[in-house]
Amino acid sequence: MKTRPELTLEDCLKIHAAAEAEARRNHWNVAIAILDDGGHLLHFARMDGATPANAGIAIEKGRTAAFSRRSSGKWEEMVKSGRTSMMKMPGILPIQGGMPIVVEGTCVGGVGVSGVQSAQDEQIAQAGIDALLKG
Amino acid sequence: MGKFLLAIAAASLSFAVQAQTYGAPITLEQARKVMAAAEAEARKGNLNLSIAIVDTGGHMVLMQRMDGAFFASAAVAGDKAWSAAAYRRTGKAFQDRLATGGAEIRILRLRGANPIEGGDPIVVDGRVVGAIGVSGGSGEQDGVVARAGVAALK
Repeated sequence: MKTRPELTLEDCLKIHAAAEAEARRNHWNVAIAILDDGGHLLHFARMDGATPANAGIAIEKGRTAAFSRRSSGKWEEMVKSGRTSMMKMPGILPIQGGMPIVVEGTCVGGVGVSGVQSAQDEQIAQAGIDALLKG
Repeated sequence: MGKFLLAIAAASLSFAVQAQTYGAPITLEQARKVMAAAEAEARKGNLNLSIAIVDTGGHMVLMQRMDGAFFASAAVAGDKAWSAAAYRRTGKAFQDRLATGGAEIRILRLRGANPIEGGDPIVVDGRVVGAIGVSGGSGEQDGVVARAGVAALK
């Protein structure tokens, strides 16, 4: 029987703490969402100063990464390269800032961030994932 | 049509004692206090739940799903919180009203209303600053946890 790793709440708190610390270090106010590999919410927090819209955007970016197994930035690149049909992919938000969480070769979920420039959003998401992977 | 329904609802459902206005939206720091109290109550009862906290616009501020909670609970917690924020009343209030039967079945047609215990407005100084939604246990268990969260800001 195949077994697979699964995110615990403790893992999520670790990811979130590192991501929020990265945001605060840069004085960025963002929303940070963590989802499981089915794209279902596990943890979410929106810092004061981030807009209500950032909540939904962060969740959709994270969901994109979690259940497509690739970053939302990759989807954005595909659209930018001219494959505009990718805009119609169900459940995909092709905007940088959502990263898959890959553990031992398996995608266990995703992190989505919204609130600043999308490259900065991705930087925050990656900081969270790095904290998890380095233990 | 949607607006018309809401207007009827606002007129006919003002039955419970409740805060009549919104205040400043809940801060992340306040939400963390609510979450800590709710989570402590859940752990006391050995329950694995999803807990969501939304602001005065029903938009998510803080959410967490405990290990072992079924995944639908994540969405349902958000729905319960949205309902409590949007209508400034608890899911229990809708639930009790619905249980009287007859014409009260109309509550099922109210946009976004969640007539299940476990969604409560968060009230500070008589004003609604947001709401909490809890899902994963029985309605009664979810309700106890939601109220423990709300009490943290009293």
